Formats: sequence, structure tokens, C-alpha cells
Amino acid sequence: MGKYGLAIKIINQKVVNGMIKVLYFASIKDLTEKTEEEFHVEGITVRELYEQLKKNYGSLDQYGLRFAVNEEFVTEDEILKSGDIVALIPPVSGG
Amino acid sequence: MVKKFEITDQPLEERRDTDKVLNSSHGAVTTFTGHVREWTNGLRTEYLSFEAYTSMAEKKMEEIGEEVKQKWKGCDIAIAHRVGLLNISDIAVVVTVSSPHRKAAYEANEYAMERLKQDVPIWKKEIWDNGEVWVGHQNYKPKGSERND
Repeated sequence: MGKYGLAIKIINQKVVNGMIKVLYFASIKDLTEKTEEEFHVEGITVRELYEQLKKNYGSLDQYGLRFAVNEEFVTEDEILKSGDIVALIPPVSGG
Repeated sequence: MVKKFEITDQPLEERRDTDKVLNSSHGAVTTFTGHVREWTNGLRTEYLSFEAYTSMAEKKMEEIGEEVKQKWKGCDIAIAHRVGLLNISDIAVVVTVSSPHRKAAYEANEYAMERLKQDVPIWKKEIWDNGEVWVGHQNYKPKGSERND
């Protein structure tokens, strides 16, 4: 059990090593036509990720996005590390 | 386990949330229910669709709950928000505050609702017979109408 557990853990680490996941919601999900995407971009800032996403999907500036990393709002200076989950947060409209 | 801060795709019931917060030292409960409105600025909504970043939304609602309990000692609070397709007059959100006395229950309830509208990652899409819009997302405008949300 112990040995197998370790083996599985190592495999999982290999999968996520150097990867971050980006989540899309609402209008951004409509734009990208996907709910999430993974990138090999460890060590870059949120701003650099955002610039890359703009290259992929066109101008995102008009959406007035905020950013969350691991479910907390962050500034664009936040540095991303392996395994982080980034969310693009369009203006919220609950209630 | 009782979940006081909840995103759900099931219909909301005010009484269920009251039961989550009420205890014998509380003499007041305020319940705010937000409902799907048919008419907004002259446009007729057919139905609404709500989407949430569920895990973060529940976490943020819990943080709002902590703020409320810090500001109004002795209060307890529950927040439930529905996601998925909602029809006219369906309940989209329930904010319930219980407190020893009524003043705190009124104030804390309004505060929690304002905070929810600022920071909880939930999105509303209005669907009309001739278009749809994610509310507050400026790039999505229906044809032939001018709106300010």
C-alpha cells in the first residue's frame, strides 16, 4: 500500500510539474469556448500570463477582469508557481 | 453537516436557512430573498442563468460571514445562492442574519448583501426573447438596445 501510494504521488507530481491551470467563467468561458486550460508557465507573473492570453484570445481589456490564484484575489504582480489555479474573474453579478 | 454558506443548483427555501442560524439567545431574524425580476429598464427577462466559481464563492461568502460576526457581535449568518436556470420570481439568493436584537440583524443583512455583490464570484446572465447578456460585462450587448447595468 505504502509503495503504491508513493508511486502514484510521484506520477501526479510529474503531471503537474511546471503546470498551472487557468479557469474561465461566464463571458470569458463564452470567448475561449472552454472552462479551463493548462499552461507550462511556472515562475511568470499574472500580468505575463494575461499578456499571453491576450495573444491567444484577442483583447481582454474590455472585460474588466480581476484575477484569483488558489481562490484568493491577487494583483497582476503575483508570481505563479507550479500547481497554481488561476481564475479570470469578470465583474461579478450575484444576488 | 449544516452548510451555512452554500452554492446550490436546488431551489432555495428561506426557512431552511433560518434554522441554520437561530438559537435561543436570538430574538431577531432578518431574511433577504433576491428574486428573478421580469422587467429591467423596460426589457422583459424570460429567465436568468447563474454561474459560480463554486469553491471560491463559498469561501468568499464564509469570509463575509466572519466580517459580519466581527462587526455585529452575537450575530449568526447564513448565505445561500442558487445557480443554473431560474424563472421569473424564483429565489436567487437568501441572506439570513439572526441576532439578539433587530437593529443588528437589519444592518448586518444589508452589509452582507452589498459585500456579496462586490466580491463573490457569481455571474448572472439575462436571457430575453431576442438576446442575452452577462450582466456587467460590457462587451456583450444585445442587438438594438442600450443598457446600463
